[in-house]
Amino acid sequence: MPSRKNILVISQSSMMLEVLYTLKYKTMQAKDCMDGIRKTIRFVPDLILSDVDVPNLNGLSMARILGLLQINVPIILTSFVARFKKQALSYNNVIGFITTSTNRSEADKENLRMDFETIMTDAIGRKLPEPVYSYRFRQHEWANLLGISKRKKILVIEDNPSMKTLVMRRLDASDNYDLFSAEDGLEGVCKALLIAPDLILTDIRMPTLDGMAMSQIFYILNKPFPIVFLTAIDDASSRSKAQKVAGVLGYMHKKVLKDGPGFLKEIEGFIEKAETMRPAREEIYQKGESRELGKSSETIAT
Amino acid sequence: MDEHSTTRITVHIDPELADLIPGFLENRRKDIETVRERLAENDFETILLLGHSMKGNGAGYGFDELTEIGREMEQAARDKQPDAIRKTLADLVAYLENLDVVFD
Amino acid sequence: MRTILVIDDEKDSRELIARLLAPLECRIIQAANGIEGVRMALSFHPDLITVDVMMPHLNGLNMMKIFTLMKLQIPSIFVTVKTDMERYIELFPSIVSVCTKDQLQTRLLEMVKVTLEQQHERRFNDIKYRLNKKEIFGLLGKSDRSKILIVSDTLTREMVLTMLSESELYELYFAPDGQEAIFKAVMIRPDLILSDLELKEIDGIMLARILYILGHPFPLVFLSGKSDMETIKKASKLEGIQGFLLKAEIRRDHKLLQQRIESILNISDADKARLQASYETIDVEKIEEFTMESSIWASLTP
Repeated sequence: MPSRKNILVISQSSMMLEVLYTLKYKTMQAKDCMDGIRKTIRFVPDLILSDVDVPNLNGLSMARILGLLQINVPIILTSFVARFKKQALSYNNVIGFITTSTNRSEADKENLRMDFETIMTDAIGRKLPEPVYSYRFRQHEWANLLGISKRKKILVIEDNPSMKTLVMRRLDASDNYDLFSAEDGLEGVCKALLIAPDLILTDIRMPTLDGMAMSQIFYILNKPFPIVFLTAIDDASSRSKAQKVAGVLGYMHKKVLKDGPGFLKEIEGFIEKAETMRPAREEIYQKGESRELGKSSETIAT
Repeated sequence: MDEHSTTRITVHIDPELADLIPGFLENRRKDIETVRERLAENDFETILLLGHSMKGNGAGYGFDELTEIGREMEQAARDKQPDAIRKTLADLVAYLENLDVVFD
Repeated sequence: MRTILVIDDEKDSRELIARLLAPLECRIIQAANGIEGVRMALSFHPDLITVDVMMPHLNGLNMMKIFTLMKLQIPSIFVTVKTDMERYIELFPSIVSVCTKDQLQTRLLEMVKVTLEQQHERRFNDIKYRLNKKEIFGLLGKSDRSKILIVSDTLTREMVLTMLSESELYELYFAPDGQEAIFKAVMIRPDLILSDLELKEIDGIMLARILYILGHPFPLVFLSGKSDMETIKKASKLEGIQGFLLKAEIRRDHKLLQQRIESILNISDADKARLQASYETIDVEKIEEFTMESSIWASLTP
């Protein structure tokens, strides 16, 4: 077994660490899955070994997020709950699942070691595909990127063409913004990382990754882009749920688009608010407390 | 809307959006076809999303009836009720046929 | 409202064209030279441009070459005293027609009207772009490291790493030619560009000039041979060009490259501001007589 592999461990139990130590791996720890994602990006470990049952963001959600972002570090998930195995192995980046015992006997430790080594042996030579982010830019977006502009950048994420046309039309009536757009949450994440928008205006219901999960991903990645939901969701409880998600600046109902100038005023207001709140938000994002993900962390899990 | 009479419905839309309306209404007609197809497959998920989009589009452009129809369609799809969905389709057909758009 | 950009170095000509096109009730904006024309085109997304061919330093033809190089499609009408410009319509799909100066009064309005009417039939291509793993991780991370873009078709990452005594201080990005370098630069926003002089199609000097035209003040250092001194000196009106390094020397002395990089990265804020300001104000003379050779040009047409 190559002993210079660097393994990121996310676990409440020290047993895993002990096993890895005896196998002479270098290990690094993360306090939870959100910290785990940040450390993965920063240190690019050779492997992630994580419990599923981690508070605020569980191991399965973490695997899904890393897969969506194409962060090609292989993952082994562990849990007392054997029925997570099927879901775990359904992710391309999860190379194995170990059902752990609640006991801590030497026999259990030995089983753990054997399960681990089996997975590692089976995975030899298997490489996860190299990530590629593909972008499609409209002419005006490309021009915005090529030019130098002092204007604020707004990224509009909306999958319905009629709605996107309307939003862009309303925003274009003001000369103050460089506009960019994306058609689903994942494209939104990739474009936002590249463009670093001053405001993200997004629908909530979208294919691939909904608006709330997308906001949570930005929080996890420590990218405090100001986010405003633009939605047709009527019920108050969903709305307040949406607002509690980390980093979300506010909410607009789509009916505000009926009044062009009124809509622009609200946008202006949000951009100002974002500017005022920026230092505080950056601090919260930097700290990266996973409980700030908001109750809706279940939206990320499949 | 219970009666599918020939009473015209007048909707006032922002003149700034005038050039977008023909395409918009054409897309709504296409939506009708799509919902019919998806209904034949019992694909309530897609119909729910379409109803939701219609709700949003109606609200954004100013077609209030469309918002209502969208809301009903979304709920009917959530409840997995084909007859209710068909009713919303009939409402939508009648709406589009009797629609007069005024830009002011 | 539609926007028409009128580019001509003579104020009277611009005013004449603006008057002639007034009946169309479009917003008409004016640029007094080729650089201003490029920058305004990027900033205002005009529906149509009228371009005076004969302008000093950056003429209309070379402007179109830059647009095409940058994959921008802006419907354009060439305005010229010459009578043999029709052939350029074939070379540049964006040139929809040519109007000679004596025909302005009689034909321009109609030409513009027709072009604007046909606009919804035009197919504007989206620009597709891909980022690879290193670039993606650069975007995902919260990086305090300086970004260096290396433009060369001979230098590999391995080679560059050997030329730096402390390579982990930097994030290295690569582009094999000038066109790719421009795209990568506007997306990644490097703190420094190291460029060969000789590159396929668009050479190092032209790269520096185009970055100036676009308005991006990335510090640029050429990697050159002894014989290139004169060439570099000639281009050095551009403040972004921070000098050169002899390839033979940096291969011998592994501290040299790093020292130069560090000295550029650590310039004072005042100097940074000065550099930025020098790129914001347009001084057409800085690009000398900008030309792109037609043999180079032919291979760039899409």
